[in-house]
Amino acid sequence: MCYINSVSYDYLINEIFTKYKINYCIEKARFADASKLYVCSSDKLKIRPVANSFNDIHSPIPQIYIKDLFNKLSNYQDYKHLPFNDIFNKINWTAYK
Amino acid sequence: MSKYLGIGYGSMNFDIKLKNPAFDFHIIFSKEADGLNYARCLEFDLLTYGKSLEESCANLLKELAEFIFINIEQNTINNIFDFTADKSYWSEYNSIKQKITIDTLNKVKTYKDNIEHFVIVKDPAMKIAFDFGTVKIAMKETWLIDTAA
Repeated sequence: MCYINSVSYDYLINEIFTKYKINYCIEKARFADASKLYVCSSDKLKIRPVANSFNDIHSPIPQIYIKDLFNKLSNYQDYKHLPFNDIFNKINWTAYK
Repeated sequence: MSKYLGIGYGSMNFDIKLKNPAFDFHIIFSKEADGLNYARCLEFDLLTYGKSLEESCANLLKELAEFIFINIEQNTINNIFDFTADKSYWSEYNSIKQKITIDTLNKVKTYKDNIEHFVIVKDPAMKIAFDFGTVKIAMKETWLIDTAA
């Protein structure tokens, strides 16, 4: 399986969440031996799980998922001011094999 | 471009006081241009993916369990219905559902559409269920468009 046009979890965290001040947290998943990334609200509540659970922070998230995530976040009061279209278009997409 | 693969539904039952202590959740399966399989829960607009349809469904049920657990933990469980999927997904779900007729035994009885045929999924991965004390989450039925037909 080849993940074309993907970003890694660490890219999403370091290049997008941190840069655009999107709050997040990483926790141990309850129902898998893996980690779980959440987008949090400004008051630190977990509002949206991000992608699948993961074991490797360098593993890929497909482009379609990121587009869907941005669509959702653009409806949240805390993040609707962010230029998600521009952010999406500037992502350095990578292919994973 | 999405290619819809089928639909399914499952149930959640809560032992805690909620506005909706028991309800069904609905899933739509698709294959996207990147070749991955996606499963979307319409009630909460949760999306997961996998190399196979079964994997995407199993990932979605784990995601639902995580989502419910987190919202119970942070006392936001009554807000979980605030972010339902776009109505276009519900329309697509209903469009697929209208093409199948189900008898009282929950078996596909007739096909209304000569182009798309439906199969009941029997893969064990689709029967995954979670029970963590206060909540039971289980898949009930899944109908996939039989691409071999």
